[in-house]
Amino acid sequence: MTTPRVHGRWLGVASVALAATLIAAPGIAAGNATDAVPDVAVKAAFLYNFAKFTEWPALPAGAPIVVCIVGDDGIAAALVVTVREQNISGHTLEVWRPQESATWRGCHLLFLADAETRRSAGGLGAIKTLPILTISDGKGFSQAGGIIELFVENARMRFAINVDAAERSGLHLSSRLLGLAKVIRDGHVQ
Amino acid sequence: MRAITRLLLAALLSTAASPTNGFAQTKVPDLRQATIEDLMNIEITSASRKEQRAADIAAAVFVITHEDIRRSGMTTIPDLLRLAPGVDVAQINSNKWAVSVRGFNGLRANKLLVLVDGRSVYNRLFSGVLWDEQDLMLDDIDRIEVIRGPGAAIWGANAVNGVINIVTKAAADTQGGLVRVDGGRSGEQGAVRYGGTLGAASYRLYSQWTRRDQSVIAEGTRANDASHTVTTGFRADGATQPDAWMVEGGFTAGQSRALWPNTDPQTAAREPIANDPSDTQGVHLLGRWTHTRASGASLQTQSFVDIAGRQEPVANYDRRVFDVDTQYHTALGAHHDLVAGAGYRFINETFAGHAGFSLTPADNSASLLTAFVQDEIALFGNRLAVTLGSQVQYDSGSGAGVQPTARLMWKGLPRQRLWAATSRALRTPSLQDRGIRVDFPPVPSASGLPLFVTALGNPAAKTENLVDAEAGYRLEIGTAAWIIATGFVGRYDDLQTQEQSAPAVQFVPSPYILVTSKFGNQLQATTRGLEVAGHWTPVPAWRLDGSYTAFHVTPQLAATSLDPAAVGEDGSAPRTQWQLRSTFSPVARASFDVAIFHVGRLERYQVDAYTRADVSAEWRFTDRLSAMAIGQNLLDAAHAEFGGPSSLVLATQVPRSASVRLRWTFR
Repeated sequence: MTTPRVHGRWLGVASVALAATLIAAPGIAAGNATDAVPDVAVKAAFLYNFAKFTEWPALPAGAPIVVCIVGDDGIAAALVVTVREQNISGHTLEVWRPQESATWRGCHLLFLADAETRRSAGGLGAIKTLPILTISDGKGFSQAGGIIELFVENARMRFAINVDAAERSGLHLSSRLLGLAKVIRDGHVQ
Repeated sequence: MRAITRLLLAALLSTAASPTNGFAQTKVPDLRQATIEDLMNIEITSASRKEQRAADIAAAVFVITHEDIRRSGMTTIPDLLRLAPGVDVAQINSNKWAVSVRGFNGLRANKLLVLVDGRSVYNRLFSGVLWDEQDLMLDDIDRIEVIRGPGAAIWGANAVNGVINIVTKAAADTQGGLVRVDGGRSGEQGAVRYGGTLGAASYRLYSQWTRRDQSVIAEGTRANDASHTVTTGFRADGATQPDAWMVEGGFTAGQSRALWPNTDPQTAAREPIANDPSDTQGVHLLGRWTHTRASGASLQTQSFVDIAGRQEPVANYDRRVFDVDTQYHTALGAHHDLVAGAGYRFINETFAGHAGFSLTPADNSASLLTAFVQDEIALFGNRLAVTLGSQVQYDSGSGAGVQPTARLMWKGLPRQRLWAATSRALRTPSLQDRGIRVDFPPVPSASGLPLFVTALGNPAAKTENLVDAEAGYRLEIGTAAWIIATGFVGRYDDLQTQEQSAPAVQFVPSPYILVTSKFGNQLQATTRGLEVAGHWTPVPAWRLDGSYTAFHVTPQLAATSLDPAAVGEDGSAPRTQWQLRSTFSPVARASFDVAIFHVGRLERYQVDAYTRADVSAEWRFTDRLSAMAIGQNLLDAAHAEFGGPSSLVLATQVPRSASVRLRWTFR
């Protein structure tokens, strides 16, 4: 695998600035008196935390954790900032934006933006038994077989975990994560 | 938590002031240190960011989704294009269509570029698309993107009035088996597909068989224009980050009949119509490789070969195309999003005319070199996007051309988008424009002498030229509705005319009158139009989509022109079109959809306005098995949609039809 760090430093700076622009837009529009934080920054931080509390079987020591973001460049840009120079138990994080669902097999964590989930049903089916942590902010994602669904309740971010889907994937999610989640099973809200 | 927020805002404000240095010096607010419990307590600004990307493009874009395709019950690509606002689809007979946007329609409409997975299916013989060759496996189409207006700055020549981009699903999205059967008054269609994996790669194999039944000349009189087509192909996708590849190929063969004018002087008087079958064959292979960097920058290279043949009553035609192109997409600094590309295409075509038809030269080879660059610049905190770009090309047949575009999009108002664009686009002369010759059989004239008419191409045919200005506005109303309006003005120069000579009396071998009609470029035209589309989801199970298009052409014929018909261009496209579609899913297993399409009168061809109503009702027995009942053209027994010389073959009427579809999928 080619390391992504071959690109120049200016691209890294560009990503940071792009993230800033994307995050800044709603903040400025909403005025400066708000205490609210843009959701992309929060979602990116959630993704980082989900990675922290997940164990991938057969992840070689020192290999990077590949985080794939589909359909939301704002989250991808925010995540590039979040995971910069971070590592989780010795694994660095790499952020990818795969264009085709055929390439999802190379991901450890796969985030599908709301608008993408409806189109992606087939692609998801193909990877459901692989150790890929699938996450979306699309409504009904976890009932439809995705592992983690982010949703908003009272202007706060919450998440649901489909434990059947997690089991199928062979991933181990920490009990701390399960304790905070709304736990559901295939097709039913518990 | 409040401290984090302040720090974040401070960082952002300093960034806005000084995009690169400011950010580098300011500590990024550390949400990384926040625990999940912390994160769950942060108040956030918006519930979702599901902006459709199409809404952010400074052009008139509409996307026909897989769901739209499946639910419509339609079985041909031209029919499906009716779902997009502003597309003028006219069925000529059972297996031929005239498709255009923003005017200038005909069987060989020449101002629209059509791509299937990036492979141009445009045809240099007449600069158009042979729709009867495009028998794509409908179940595998992911979406059809319809871009109205010039797309030449990226796509190149002949994307004058629009670009239609048909995108098939990745092989990973079509895993397992599928069997579909459609049958009814308009014909039958059967499709089978199987998708699987081989190591890290996914693949699918598919085959579709289509038989289209006869249309009618008048109620009760069939037109003997049935056709059948078989398409078989594969697609494979694979990836090892950061590289992804795709290979697809297919073979198609078909036979169709139409009512052609008989141009054989020996038999024309006795049999004015030729009804011999036409055969078509085509094979293509396409490969694409994409390398994506972690930054999101990507390099994509693709190549295809396309070999096709047609044996029609008027001519045999063969083409061989080889194409390779590459493009690079990257962010440049904080404000620039750059796409640049270059391509090469080699085309060889041969034409063997029959019965009065010929092409000079009969064997043509041409090379086409293209390059483009487009930069989208974000200004004023991402509220204004300015897109500047141009395509340059060198065509060994018609020389060099430059096709620039400038686009603006204002995103500063919540829930609204405002855009404007100006572009130049070219339509290069086709082989028939330059070298066709048709000797029509003699007809009696008023003088008593036989009249011979010969139509001639013009070796000095000029490139047609469009300069266009357009503007659009999009408004979201609540979460359940949106409306888009687009207006445009186009100025066309050097449009094709047919310059007629004065009748000349010839004495050898026996007296006759000869009139020649030679292609010229003596027409200018101004087009104006308004396209409005809206969407509303009153309740989650019910959605309504509608659109209205008004279009007008003002032709200005040069004083030196001897083309009596060119001023009739105004009446070759409908002045108004509208459609209303309702898609309703009362329970999870059932859906009931109604679509009504109205197309205004074609004054030039004396074709009346018509309203078409389609209904489809689907019941899903299980997740794997469904049945659908489909009714098309329900409002009349049959109606005409096109006519006149632009149809080449005799235009017939489209009958009412009903059909049933069964669809079964398995793992």
